[in-house]
Amino acid sequence: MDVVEGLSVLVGSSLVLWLALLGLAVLRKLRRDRRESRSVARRAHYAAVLAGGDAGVIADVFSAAGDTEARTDLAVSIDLLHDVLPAAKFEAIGRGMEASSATRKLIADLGARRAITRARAAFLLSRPGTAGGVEEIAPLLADPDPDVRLVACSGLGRAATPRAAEALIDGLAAGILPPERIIERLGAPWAVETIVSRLNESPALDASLARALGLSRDPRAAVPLTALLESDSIEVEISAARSLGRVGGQTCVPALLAALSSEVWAVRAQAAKSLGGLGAVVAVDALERCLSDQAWWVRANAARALRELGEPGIEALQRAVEHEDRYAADRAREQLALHAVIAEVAA
Amino acid sequence: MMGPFEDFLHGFNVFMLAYVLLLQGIYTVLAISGWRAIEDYVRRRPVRDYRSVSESEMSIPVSILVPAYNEEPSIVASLRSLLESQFIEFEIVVINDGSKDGTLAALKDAFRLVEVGRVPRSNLPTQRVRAVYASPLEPRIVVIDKLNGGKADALNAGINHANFPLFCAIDGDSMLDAGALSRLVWEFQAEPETVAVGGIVRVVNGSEFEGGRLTKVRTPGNLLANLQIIEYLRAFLGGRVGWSKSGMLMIISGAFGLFRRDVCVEVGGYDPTTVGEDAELVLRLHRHQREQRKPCRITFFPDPICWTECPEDLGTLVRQRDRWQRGLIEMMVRHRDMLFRRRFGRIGSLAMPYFLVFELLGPTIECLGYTLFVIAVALGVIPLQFALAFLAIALTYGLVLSFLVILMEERAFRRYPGWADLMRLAICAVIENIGYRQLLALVRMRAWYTYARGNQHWGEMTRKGFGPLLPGGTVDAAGHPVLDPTADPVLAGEAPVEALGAPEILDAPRI
Repeated sequence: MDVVEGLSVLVGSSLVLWLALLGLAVLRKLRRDRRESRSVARRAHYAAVLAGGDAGVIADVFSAAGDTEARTDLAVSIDLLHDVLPAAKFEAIGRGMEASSATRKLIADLGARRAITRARAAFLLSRPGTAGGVEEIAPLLADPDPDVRLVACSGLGRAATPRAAEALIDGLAAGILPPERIIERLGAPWAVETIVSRLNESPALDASLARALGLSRDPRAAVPLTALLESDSIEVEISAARSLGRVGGQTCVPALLAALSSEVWAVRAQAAKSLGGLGAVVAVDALERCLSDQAWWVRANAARALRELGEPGIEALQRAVEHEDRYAADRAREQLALHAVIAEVAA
Repeated sequence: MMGPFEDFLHGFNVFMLAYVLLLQGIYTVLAISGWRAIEDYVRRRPVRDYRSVSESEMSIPVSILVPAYNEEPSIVASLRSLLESQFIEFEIVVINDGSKDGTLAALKDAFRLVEVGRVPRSNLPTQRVRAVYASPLEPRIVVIDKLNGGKADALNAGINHANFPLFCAIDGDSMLDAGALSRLVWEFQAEPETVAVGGIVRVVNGSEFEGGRLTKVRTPGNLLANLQIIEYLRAFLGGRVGWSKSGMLMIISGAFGLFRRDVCVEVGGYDPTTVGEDAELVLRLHRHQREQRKPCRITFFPDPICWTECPEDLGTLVRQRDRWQRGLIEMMVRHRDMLFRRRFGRIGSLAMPYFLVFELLGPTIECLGYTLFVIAVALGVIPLQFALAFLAIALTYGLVLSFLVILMEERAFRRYPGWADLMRLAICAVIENIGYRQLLALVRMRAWYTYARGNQHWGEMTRKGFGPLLPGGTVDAAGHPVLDPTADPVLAGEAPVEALGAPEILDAPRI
């Protein structure tokens, strides 16, 4: 074989290989395109059936969704309807799912060896957000796979029952998931009563529960949060001060005003921020005093809070420009400068 | 009968054969591992609730650090694109690193910046910070104006002034996918021992923009840019996913990575004396966590995307690759004591030796191999059939690997949905293996020379930017309310910095 002949063979075989690989890529692309169009059509069909609310038809849809792709599309369709359909429709979806032959299979899949099978089963079981699957899903909070744990956590949050709240708080106490993941699911009005009943078990749990109470934005949380401001744990105090700012209502203001005198700078800083967010005009004098606090963050937050309080706060900042404490004057001047640009743009 | 030179040629080519086979073997293992990881991700993706990460008040807030040096044409568009990120709580800390152009003025004009006092949360040494600015129009933007000290120094200043527990370092000429942050943060939220996560960097050349925002992803007309698309896909999908899966990820691109702020402060932040500060930091994090016997999860996540402009001319590409290789050399030289040390786990015993043999010495071995291979064939030391078979196998392997990453892309992400894009990439998969790789090997070999000369320069980069800017604030230089440079007691060092002792709890006071 000479060089030219050899190179020809090389180029020829490379070309054949390239064409083969290109063909493979084209085939995969076509296959993927087809799968996507199928999925779009299926989701539209599921959405129509689920929105119709007939439990019998819904049960048929669940039973027919045998393969992974169909089940995923079904779960996604339920998710998309979650913010649109009324709760009663979801009850019907839940009843339809429970009446279908798929439910027993899904519950069996919760104990599957493959993590993704367990996660998918928990995902679909928990989508309608009914009380049905709570007992089966709760043990998955301790699953070795993080995806399964997170799916279980969101599923329990969606079920929104006292039993689900208990399971989530148990998970919080056991530290089986990052606390924030459980707090974000617990932080809703449906869980407030259960949370309040579990307060004072331990400071670490209290700090997390205080944050969940804040997220609930439920007025019933104000009294227990005010009590938590007296905690011996700094983290609990900070969480309570932040949460009181989220819960709102005038009952929170006196507690936050008292927190401005805390010995801990982080609590004072958080209380100042919360008062600004609440629009508590009554706090103007106290915040003005905080402008000369010994902690930088307290000064900065107090100045910002005064700006957020509108006219009375701006007047306080204008007075503070002449403050004998130059650092207080600096913070005030800074916020006034920001206010001036905002006012100019608004005008 | 062969003479000593022929003996040497024969011996070297046998060595090269073994070297190539070993390298291909490693690439195969990485590609298979990457493919499996991506398949696993594709299966898990539907059950992951990324939306709740982007909307939950309990998500870990992020400081996006954008070092800017002479970025006047693109900085405002970059920031406006970053502000589109779908994530509940983030701030953008722009560090103007002593730019000589109008970078700071452009920022002042667009966002009506006002000088403010801001206490640094850590004390990483940096060049002097001249002023800190906040935007009344966009509270999420903070601008730090400092004396020039290089990218690493700018990032350290950004870390000092960042408020949040996680920071994301991205280049001023890059833009993030809207959902990128929530996907990266998910990794920290699901597995708290995570220290750093890298995201994929993709080439944005040729794509369409509107108002500085990416509207349609397309492959570019420029050949060099298309070759880099294949190269990036191979590096990220065919390489880093595999390294990450094995717990041996040594590089998180400086263009896009998310880090735990407290750990980075503990290790001393970025090293301003190296041009490869991104990789050096990652290696130092591995080292520190292992020395402290702390968990160290440093991983790569292929879905959150950072779009970056790649060089379209050879000169800029050569300068860029020279810098990358110098950074690698500096990193390996500095941390040479980690090599083959079991104490550093797989990083010391597998990843670093790989980088030494195949990334550091590899280009030189490769260039020498090409030269001696041709000589050996010409002298008849290697039979022609064997030489052609060897070339055919090398080319086949390169083609298969390039197509594999194209298929991975198509399977999992579909960022280039058009048929024309597929054809362009398919053609470039060939060219990348014939000519482009060899050229880069030459450039990377030359980096030893620039390293030996002590070159610490980044080299000029030519950029087009992301299209026309969105309408921003009007210019009103005289009317800007500018404060006197604040002599805050903390900033002036007259009072203790209480904030430095602040507990780094995930939901620390949001100030």
